[in-house]
Amino acid sequence: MRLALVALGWAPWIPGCSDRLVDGSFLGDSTIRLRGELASHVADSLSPVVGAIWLGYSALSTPNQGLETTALPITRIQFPASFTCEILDPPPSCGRYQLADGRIVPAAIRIARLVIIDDRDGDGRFAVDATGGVVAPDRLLARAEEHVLLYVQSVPADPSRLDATGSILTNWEAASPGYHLVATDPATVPPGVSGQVVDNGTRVIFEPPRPAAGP
Amino acid sequence: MSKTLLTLFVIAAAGCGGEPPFYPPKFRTSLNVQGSGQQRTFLIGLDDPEYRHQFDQMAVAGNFLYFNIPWYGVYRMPKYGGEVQPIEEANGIEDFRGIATNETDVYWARMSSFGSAGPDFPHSRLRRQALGGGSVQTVAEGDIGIVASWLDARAFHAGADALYSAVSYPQKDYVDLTRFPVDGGTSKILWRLTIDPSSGPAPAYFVFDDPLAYISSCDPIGGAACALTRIDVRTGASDTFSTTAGPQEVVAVDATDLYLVSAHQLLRRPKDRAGDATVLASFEGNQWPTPMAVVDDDDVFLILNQSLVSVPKSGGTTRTLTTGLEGGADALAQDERNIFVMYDWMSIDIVPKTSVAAIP
Repeated sequence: MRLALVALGWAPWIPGCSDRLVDGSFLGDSTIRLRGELASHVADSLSPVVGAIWLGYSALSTPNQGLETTALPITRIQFPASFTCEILDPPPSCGRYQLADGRIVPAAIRIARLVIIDDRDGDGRFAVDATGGVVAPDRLLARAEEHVLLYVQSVPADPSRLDATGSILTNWEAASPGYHLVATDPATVPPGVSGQVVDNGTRVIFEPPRPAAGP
Repeated sequence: MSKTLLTLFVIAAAGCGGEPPFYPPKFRTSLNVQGSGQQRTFLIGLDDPEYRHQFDQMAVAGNFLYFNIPWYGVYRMPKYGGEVQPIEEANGIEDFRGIATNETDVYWARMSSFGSAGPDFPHSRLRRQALGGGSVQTVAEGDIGIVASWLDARAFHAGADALYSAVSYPQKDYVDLTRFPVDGGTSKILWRLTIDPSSGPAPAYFVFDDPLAYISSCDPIGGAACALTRIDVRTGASDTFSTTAGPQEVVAVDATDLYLVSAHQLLRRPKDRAGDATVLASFEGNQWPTPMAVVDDDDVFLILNQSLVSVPKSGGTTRTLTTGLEGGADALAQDERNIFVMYDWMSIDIVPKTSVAAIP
């Protein structure tokens, strides 16, 4: 009897960003193969990993708010300095971002800065502090200055209407559900992010950190 | 026809010992709502015309808004909109009360229908989860009732290393404001709130400013003698911070001051007792401040009737951020740039701190 009641009252729960689908072997759109390249020699490292620093939902107006991190093992390295890594998991969560002018973007997304970390303690993860700096003993080796990673969970109802409004992307029509690379506009004043979705095969250039640079 | 069959089925289920039917909460969310940037924006509502569910308390921390629905569950959602994710649910079977956050965790109370004290008194568990998610842990538990709201005052708070709540006991006419260390250490009673058999519970209001707590209350018998009491939450030692002829409800605290409301005023009182209370704002006519407020570096945000207003700490003109909070405001929370307002127990909106209410 209880089972029947449960069946009557149960409504399927829609998986969120961090919810694996089925048994974890299928991840739908939650995957991207990232092609990276080091712009110049970086410091010697014990255990380099690619890191995603997920910007919090208010981090486009207030720096370093709500940052979360995930480390992504490098799957293939080619000389001189090219590598690939595969992102198989969705972000920790997805939601709407608030822009510097207070507007809230009507799409459930998540944006990450891409970095290369020396995972010196070998625990397969890293953390950032309140200023956005990598917490020791791990160490920042390089960061992508011209691209960010975008995950789209739900698209805006009218994407083209957003394009000219300064709402993160200038080509929202290309932001289908799943992972995307976004080429950022260097003229955008931090902590804001603005850019356009580009092909996921685009090579991402990583550069050694500039002094006092945050995420 | 199908509705009739379902009704008969449910009655039959209840009649032969089954659980009563439950109705999972349905939410209205805001994913397609473009926030204007200067005006109040709808965030989430309960889609329940029969009012079976209501919001209770909420908190904003990190990337999330946390809230509870009594007798259904504890939930979180991205703070500017997104999918609602259950943290813990027991649809109609167990009660969930109180939501509070500190720098690391979200806390709530989960109460069963039946404790060892009998079928009418719960077994309660104080629960927590890291703000980043993960497993749910029990901080403390026992055959006590968690009184997360005392009349219209929020009585459930999280400090850096302890959780605070009013606690009730079987067949006792009082509740105790109690400190529960989050490491599972021994709890400590800080203050007793009495329930007079003839006049009922006496109003009291609380703010926590680790390692101190402040409680404003009035003598339930004498009526006129009201006091602001200061308590050391580590030792339980207390003293009278100030007395007033009439009620002044303490509603907020910051690094230097306490903020209190009276019938038509918002007052500020230095924590170091360096001076008397000063009036930050006076409200004329039928404008009565609701005893709830949040403060940031510059302003005090409070509810006047069905409007959200801000009062500069430095003095100056009271500004109306939004009006028309139908049904009245029930809870406030904030992040760096926004006030989150729960109203009518059914809706939560975002109001930018820079918002200016439209002139009707």
